[in-house]
Amino acid sequence: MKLRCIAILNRQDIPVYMRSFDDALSEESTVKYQYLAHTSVDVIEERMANAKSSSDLYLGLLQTVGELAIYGYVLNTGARILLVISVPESVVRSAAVREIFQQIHAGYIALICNPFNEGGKLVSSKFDLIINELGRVHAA
Amino acid sequence: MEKQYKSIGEEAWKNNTEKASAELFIFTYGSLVVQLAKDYEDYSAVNKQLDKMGYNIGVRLVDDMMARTSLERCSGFSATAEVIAKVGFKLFLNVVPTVTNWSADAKEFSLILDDNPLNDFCELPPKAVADGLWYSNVLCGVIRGALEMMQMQTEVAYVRDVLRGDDVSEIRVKLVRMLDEEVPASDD
Repeated sequence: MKLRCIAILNRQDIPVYMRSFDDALSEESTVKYQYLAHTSVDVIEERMANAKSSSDLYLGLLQTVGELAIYGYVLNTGARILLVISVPESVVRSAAVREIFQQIHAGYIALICNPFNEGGKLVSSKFDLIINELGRVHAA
Repeated sequence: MEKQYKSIGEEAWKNNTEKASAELFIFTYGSLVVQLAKDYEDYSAVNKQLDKMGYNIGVRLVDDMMARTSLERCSGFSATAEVIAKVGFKLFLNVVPTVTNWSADAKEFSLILDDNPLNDFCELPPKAVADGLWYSNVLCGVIRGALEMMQMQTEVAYVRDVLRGDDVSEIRVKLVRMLDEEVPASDD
């Protein structure tokens, strides 16, 4: 399973954090992932409308676009985390994806609790370290 | 003597304190520092304000601490240092800093804090680090205020802080002089 991109959008579907792990040109891939994030938002809304209970934050596989699969996770505050991975040869265990989401969630909470955090943009070196680590482990 | 202070501190923490939410305290302190930063825009001024606030807290806090623990007069400055670390910090923050780096004349020492609860979740923006903000400077003021109530004039300052990239947080306490009991000027 090769991790390609992690995106976090806030309640109003505005991207507040985007990190791609491609080696390719950053400009191009950023635009591509932003586009994918926007298309996934509709799927998220649909899933949330149909959800039987709101207790499960993990939304599972949202959609596949070409060779990329997008997984979603919603936080109780309405923020969304999207994970883009390249479609693997073997089956992806949902437990593994869930674990990645939980690590991002924990990092996100630590980020929000920083008193110097300005609302809106998420800029934090500690959070970057966590995401880098995830990238290193899963996007190798 | 040391063991005694440690057990006094722990017992007082267990029995004589009302527990409150740590997160509420941390977030309150964090918003306080951020608001000061916005109001003053100069981080050294923020440091001074935090120290002043800490001073006001310290002069009152020391009476609270004396009420909850039945400590007698300290035999000397080194005993004072032990009391600050093992009883004072333990009672109010539930951390026990290490007392080290005594100067040759035994008038200065350092408190090494491995774990400062005020720092949880906090990340200083680069400008704050560059301008010399000591995030938990209120603690220096508290120590200074408390010691002044105990008739000791001190200078207390941060020298290292984990939030600024150092490996530990270190507060240096220097005894300037003992204040003699001064009879307040009468109204005659």
